[in-house]
Amino acid sequence: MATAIMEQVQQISSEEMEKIFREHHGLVFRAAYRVTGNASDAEDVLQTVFLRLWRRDPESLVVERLPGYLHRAAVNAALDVVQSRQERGKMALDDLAPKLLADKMPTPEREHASTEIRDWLRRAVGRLSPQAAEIFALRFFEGLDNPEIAESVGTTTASVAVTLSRSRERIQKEFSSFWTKKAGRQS
Amino acid sequence: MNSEHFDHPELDKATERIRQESIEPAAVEKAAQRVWSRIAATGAHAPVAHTIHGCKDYQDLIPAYLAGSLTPARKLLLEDHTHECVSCRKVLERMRKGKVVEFPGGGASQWAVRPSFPWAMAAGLAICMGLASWMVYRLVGPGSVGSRAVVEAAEGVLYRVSGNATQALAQGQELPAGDQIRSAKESNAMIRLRDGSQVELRERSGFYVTESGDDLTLHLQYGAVLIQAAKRRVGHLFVQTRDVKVAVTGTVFGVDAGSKGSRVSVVEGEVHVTHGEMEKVLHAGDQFASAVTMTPVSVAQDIAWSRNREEHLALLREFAKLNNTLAEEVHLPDLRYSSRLVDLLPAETALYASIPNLSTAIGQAQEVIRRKVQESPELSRWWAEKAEGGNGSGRFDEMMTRLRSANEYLGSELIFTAAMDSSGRLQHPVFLAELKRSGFREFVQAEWTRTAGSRPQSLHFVNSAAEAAALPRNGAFFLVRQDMVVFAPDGATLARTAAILEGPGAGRFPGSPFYSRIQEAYRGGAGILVAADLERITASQSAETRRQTPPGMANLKYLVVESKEIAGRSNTAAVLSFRGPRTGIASWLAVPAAIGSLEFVSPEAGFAAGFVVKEPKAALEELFTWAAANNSGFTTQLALVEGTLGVSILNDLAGPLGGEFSVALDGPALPVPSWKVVAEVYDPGRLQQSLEKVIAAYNTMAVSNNKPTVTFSQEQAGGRTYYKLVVPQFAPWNEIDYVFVDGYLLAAPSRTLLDRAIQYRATGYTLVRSQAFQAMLPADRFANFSGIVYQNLATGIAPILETMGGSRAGAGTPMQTMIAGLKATLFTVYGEEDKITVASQGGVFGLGFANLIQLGLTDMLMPGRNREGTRTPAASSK
Repeated sequence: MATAIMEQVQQISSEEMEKIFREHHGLVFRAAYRVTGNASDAEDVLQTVFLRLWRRDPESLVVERLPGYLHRAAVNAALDVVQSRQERGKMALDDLAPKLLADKMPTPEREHASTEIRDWLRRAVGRLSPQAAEIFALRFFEGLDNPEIAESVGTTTASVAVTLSRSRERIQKEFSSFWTKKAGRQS
Repeated sequence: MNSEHFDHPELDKATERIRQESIEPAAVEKAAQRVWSRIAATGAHAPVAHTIHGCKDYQDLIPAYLAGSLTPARKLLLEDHTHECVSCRKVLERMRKGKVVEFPGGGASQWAVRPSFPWAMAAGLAICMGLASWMVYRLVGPGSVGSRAVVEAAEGVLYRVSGNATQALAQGQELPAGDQIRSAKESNAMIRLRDGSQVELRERSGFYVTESGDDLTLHLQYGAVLIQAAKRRVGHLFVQTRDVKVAVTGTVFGVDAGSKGSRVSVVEGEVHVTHGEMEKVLHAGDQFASAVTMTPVSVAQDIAWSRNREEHLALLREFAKLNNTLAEEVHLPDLRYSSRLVDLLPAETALYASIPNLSTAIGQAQEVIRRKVQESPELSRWWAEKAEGGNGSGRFDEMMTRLRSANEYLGSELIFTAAMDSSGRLQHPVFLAELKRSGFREFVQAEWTRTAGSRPQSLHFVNSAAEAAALPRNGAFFLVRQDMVVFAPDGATLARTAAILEGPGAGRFPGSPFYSRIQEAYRGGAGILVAADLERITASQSAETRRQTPPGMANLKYLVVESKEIAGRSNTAAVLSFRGPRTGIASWLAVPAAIGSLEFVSPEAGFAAGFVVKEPKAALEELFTWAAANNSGFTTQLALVEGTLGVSILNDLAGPLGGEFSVALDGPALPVPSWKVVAEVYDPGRLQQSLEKVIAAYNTMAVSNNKPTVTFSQEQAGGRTYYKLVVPQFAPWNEIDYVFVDGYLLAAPSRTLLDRAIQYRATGYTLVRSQAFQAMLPADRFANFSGIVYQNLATGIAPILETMGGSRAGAGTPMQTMIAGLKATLFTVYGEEDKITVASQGGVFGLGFANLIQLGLTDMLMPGRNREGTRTPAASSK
């Protein structure tokens, strides 16, 4: 089946490719936007995902359904962006600061706090292992249920549940300390 | 398990908001248009003429890319690929810069400033030595192949320096021995050594390889290597830096030699690092730095430059996860500071053992194992394979489950105890525990039936002393009360215990001195506690037995052994106390003092024991007196032996001896284990005279019995007389060499070992001064000890077993696994006026509960390690 889709993709013309792009770019862009939290990153992800599809990297096409594949590819490429942003962040916070600030719209205080938590959460997910991050994002950002995730990433529902539970625990733990510090800053 | 919500409402809110985050459809369309126009404009969406397979193809595109002649489609593909592929990115960056900076010129590069005079000399010397060894190798080595390494893959500039010539190296090129191999800036190479080991060389690194016997040594002069060592049957691969030597057999590890010092990071398996006087064993995930100023970085970070890092890191994660999770999540139960059950015991209790209920720990371990197996495809494959075999994971898991479910009915401690009966004999042991929940009886019944087989005994349950009184003699007997359970292997014992439990309180344990001693142990916190009232146990001994008891052993009081985990470290201590000052044999152990004889033992010893004793002559005299009293023929026999030997054992052999002894296994294990005996001697002349007399007497006897005689020879060297005995019967252990040094008699199986031992002492390279040993000393009030027993069999003995294992038992027998997993242990012994204390950090032989589980696990879950020849960490990485 997977080979069949690859063949199919390989043999399609540029018109058909455009059709695929037109049909699915929204899905890819929105998923990327949810994971990265900003439009310019989402745009990069969109380009990456389709370039990879055109490139017929056999690995990237071992899938049964194109939308499912693209969804997953979008989440992963987006997580890559989040992760590499953190690596850069480690090395040179200064370089990064203007970009991060620019991403944030001036908002009332409460809105700002909530954005901050979401940004924190995205970064925290980026710190998970690649697979755990993917599963977490599919579950909590994309709203898939466990059997859907299991099918998509090719594992068992039980394994998804365990991974999720561990990721959740870890994030909760990190969040508690983030929250405490944040409270400390504000008081 | 609730996978729907977080325990923090803010997180729930945040995920909800993220899910609902919307973006203007118009913005999406705009972005999509931009992306599509970029893709379409390049034509990347059109079928590509030549498909690109892998990094090589991408790298081939780089020159065209830099020249600007690449089609827009390919340009975009390459840019995208170099974005995600570090190794291609490096190639690109290098080639881009290469236009500006031509590296191989050498003069302007970093190389020119780096070598200082000692370095240049070292390099020169190394090259000379390398060349010399290469020539020797060419003459005597197997075949005519002179290369010790071959370049498998190189990115960027790699060269070899031989003599004065410097030459760029190409892929597939063989590297003659002794030549230095250097990688240039932003280059990286994969080199295969002759033994099959793979060396990944980081940029700006240099090394050369030498070979001696079966050993291969990679001299890392600077920079970093990541080595995937091949499994070898004989010999070792060593990596030598300026200040550190690393020994390995089949493992993956990185070494970084910098200006400050060296750093060793282990990805997989086990390596031994020697730095100065210190030897350290590192396991997967461990790191060693030779300079304090080199702060630790994660192993992952340390090898991040490697092209294979993902693969290595995956391995690392597997090992680290398993070990750490077990260490972190499996906890021994908390220490117990009191016990309700001890108050209920009979006053005659003479033996008392209390162990913690491990059901929680077993459950934790099981949970960790299951989870890890589920999470990791590799582990899960192994697990499944083992389960099919029918003797691995399945049984282990089942055993753990049974043990746990039995323990789940019981309270926090399980007590085994035995009391003296009216005639002064020790009764059968009784088991007691508090009951936490109902259903215990049904559980035992079911287990009993399940495992019954042809067992003749019957199972009996009673609820009261009255019922217990009517029990038969043989069988298994349980008294189940509302809150506790008592088990005994015979009816009478159970009945007696039941009567005391139900009685008014008279005849119970509290109030007796032994009870107070046990309470004292509880006050300090009890883990595993074993106590014996030796005075009570020996009280009813007959006069005859008493007379036969060796001198000093008649006034024993208590033996209390405690093992507990404090802050993650196990501590074990045994205290043997006496009713008065120690006498006789018990007094041989002197009060703590410096043990000078241990200075002949190096930090590499696999085993060492040393003791300070009271005067040997007096001790032996006491023993002789006791023997004579018990055996009327002893004096005559002694006289006969002494007459034959021509010496007085007391005066001529024991008389010259001083007050301390040490024995050790220290040095190569083959062909003969390097044993070593050191004894303090006050009168070497007299002892030597006596020894010669004994040898002469023995030879006279041997001649008349037609047996081979002992050859005795002596040799003068460096102001010392070396004596050598050859006892043909004992082959291959037939050689004994000894020498008198500064008031010590030093004996070993070869002259070399004697010299080496003398050197250890002279240079201070000694076990007792090594950091590893010092770190193992228990924290207490003593500055010295009366004795020590030290083992580091994992380094000392494991290699022997490995060698033997190839032909006999096969590698990876449980014994081997066990020994390889042993951590070094040290028992210190203290003699005080009325007691002897033996203490150790770590459980018995370093095997704490968590370690045991890990041992079993490693053995089971990593059965492939012996096939692959990797010595994986069996014990924890603490």
